[in-house]
Amino acid sequence: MERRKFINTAIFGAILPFSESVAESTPAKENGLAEPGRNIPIAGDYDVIVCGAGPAGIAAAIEAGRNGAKTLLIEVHGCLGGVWTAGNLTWILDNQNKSGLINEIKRDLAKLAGAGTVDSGSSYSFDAEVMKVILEAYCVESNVDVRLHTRVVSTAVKNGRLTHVLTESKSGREAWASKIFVDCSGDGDLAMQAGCKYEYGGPEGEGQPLSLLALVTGVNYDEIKPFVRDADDSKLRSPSKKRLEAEIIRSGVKPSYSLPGLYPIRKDLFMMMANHEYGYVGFDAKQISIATIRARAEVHQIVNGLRSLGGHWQHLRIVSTAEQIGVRESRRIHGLYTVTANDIIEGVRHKDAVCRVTFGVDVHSVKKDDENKKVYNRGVKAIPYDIPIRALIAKDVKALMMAGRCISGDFIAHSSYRVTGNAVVMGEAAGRVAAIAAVSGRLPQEVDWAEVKWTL
Amino acid sequence: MMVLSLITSVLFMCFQMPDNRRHHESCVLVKHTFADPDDSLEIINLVECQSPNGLTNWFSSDIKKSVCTSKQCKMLNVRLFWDGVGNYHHLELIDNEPLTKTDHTEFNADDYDKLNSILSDSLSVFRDLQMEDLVIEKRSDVDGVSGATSKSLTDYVVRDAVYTCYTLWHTVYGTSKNNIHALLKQRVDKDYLRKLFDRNDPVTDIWALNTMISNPEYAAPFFDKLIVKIASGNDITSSLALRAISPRNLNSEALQKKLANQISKADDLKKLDIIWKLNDCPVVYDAVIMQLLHDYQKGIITPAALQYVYKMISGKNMLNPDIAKKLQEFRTDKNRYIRDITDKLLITTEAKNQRQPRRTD
Repeated sequence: MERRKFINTAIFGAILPFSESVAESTPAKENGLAEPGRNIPIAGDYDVIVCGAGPAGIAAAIEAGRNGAKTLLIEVHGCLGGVWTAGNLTWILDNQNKSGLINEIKRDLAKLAGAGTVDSGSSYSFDAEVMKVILEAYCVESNVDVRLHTRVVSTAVKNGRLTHVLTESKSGREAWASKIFVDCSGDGDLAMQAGCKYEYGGPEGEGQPLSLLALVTGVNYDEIKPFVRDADDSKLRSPSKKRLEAEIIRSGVKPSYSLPGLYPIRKDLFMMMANHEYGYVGFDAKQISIATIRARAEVHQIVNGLRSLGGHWQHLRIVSTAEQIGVRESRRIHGLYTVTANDIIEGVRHKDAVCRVTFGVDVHSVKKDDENKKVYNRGVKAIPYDIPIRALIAKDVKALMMAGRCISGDFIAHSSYRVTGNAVVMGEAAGRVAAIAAVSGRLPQEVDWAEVKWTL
Repeated sequence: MMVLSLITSVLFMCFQMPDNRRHHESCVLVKHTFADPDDSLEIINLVECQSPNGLTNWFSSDIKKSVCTSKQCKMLNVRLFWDGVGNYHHLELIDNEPLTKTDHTEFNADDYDKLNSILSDSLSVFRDLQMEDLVIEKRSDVDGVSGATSKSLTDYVVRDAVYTCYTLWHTVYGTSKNNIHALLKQRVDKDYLRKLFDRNDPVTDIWALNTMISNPEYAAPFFDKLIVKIASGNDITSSLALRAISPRNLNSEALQKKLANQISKADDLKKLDIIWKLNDCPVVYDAVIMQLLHDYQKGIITPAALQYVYKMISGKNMLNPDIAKKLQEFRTDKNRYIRDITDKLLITTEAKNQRQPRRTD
């Protein structure tokens, strides 16, 4: 057996049965442990608290700060940017013809040599490290207090209004008061903890797969162009992906995703998405732990395999695998309006539109067997459509908004609006409305849309 | 030399564009002849319909060539048309001779529509493809160039006519377009660009604006026209017009004010672009700064945009009593963020001023 194949089998081959056994052998929850009552210190009192510092969260916090709200941004990871940085998703989909922060980000990325240098078509590629520092600078400039390494674990709701979030961190358990909260956790963690009702997955509760993304280097764009999903490739419906799959299979590895992609950032730096973890729920800690371990092993297997082919792959290396596995499907919190597949088909317009979505329906197969059977657009021909601010205001709990993929929508609509270019704009709108509401002592639904002065 | 105009001759007067689609006025037909860069024994004829004011209404070129080495395919025999600035316009069949496919069936109406849309796409995939990329297998019954179309191309091309699509696309965007651009380039001057703008045609505008972006020396005399186009409501024209204005040319208070005046008419995206343009000016005049500060107070620009205005304020600007007074007002703005960034601006400027050595007489 060749050395590379041996290593792939010996090390990573053991992970799949191990992780399955962990999944099966974990005992069901037992009776539980009574935690003694205790007084939680109020660590801060804010106008707006944003939970989750991904593309939606940073936009919400910065915009709230710039609109005069005393703002706190809480993030579980050690950097800002969420899936852009901790998730290694270094492509911004659906980013064009959108005003606001996204253009500031693109301008500053370009200034700091953080913009992708290979033509990626309509998507915008960037260097995740530059993105991290830019986002931190915006928060400092906007007077946003940032709490990294901190997880929201509970809430306090009084008379149907969210009044506090409780967090855990190295500083222990803390409580934070705010007039308005914005859930940008992606998974709707805050809204769920506050008691909001939500939907998950398709009609049968099925969810799209998770994907662990990696940044890779050691290959030259000009040499591997046929395997790269660049602007030219996208015009041909990305034949590069099947070529790459064939190449991975030639190395002795069968990737879990039959359309693996190498997405260029620079000529020597690529984002690789070659992994799909089916059947795992993105808001279940045990399940995402298992999925992450499996996925990371597979990503290494794939890279080792390609490298074993020699030639233009001989120096292929992983720069990093994502700290956070990419979650497509998660909670969709009930809002004052629900974006539906019908909205997409009709290209619906709203007077209180915060965002015009141009990205089509993109349902990644919910199970492996469907990969080559079901089309990603599920037969829905998308016409650019609006998301109204009402879809960002929680229905069941007052003083709570959502932005990003956890807003109120159905399964099909969610697969279209969930991409990060839209998340930024939604976050920005939520941040502005939250600030206006907080500073004027109103609820978000009481703010007149004309007062928001929002332009698409 | 790749583009060599050998002969230019006037054919006849008072000709109208055959399909009545664009620029109906009478024109002089001028024939330009170029050497074919692929075959020095061949020449390429380009016919130009030139209006009395010297602008071009359209160009055309007759294409008669084989797209198949088997000698079983019919020759291509079409007339291609470009508009007056070299954008592909349409094609016509010469002598009503239809286009055919590899199996000799004739193009139907849908095929012509598809071909037209392919030829209208300047960024087509054909741009980076070679002939050998077009097929994936060769069939024994037909010669090598008539193999099956690569699967990834099948949705993109006219079925069984991939070489026709490829050949015509490369004619439209290759040699012929280069020849047209070479002709136009020779004519570009202030007067020519003025006539182009006078057409009030968005397509012509785009060509003129791109010319100014690549040749900034042409832009300065058209400042007023560029300003109008920034607020035109046409996003492409507006963005190009703003790009054509060089910060170096914004060298007077009057010019800067004219640009700043467009902010109230622009959408949020363009407002920020205008402010960023002013940000790049070596000096921003006091009156412009004041106007932008007023824009914030009137709700015309956002707090985020005001932050960029602050970045263009120099120590010298701060000495202006009106600006200083306005900034003092902003220290008590109802928006906490504005209060904070104003404080920071004042503190930073004061520190800078203190660091500068003072002259003593």
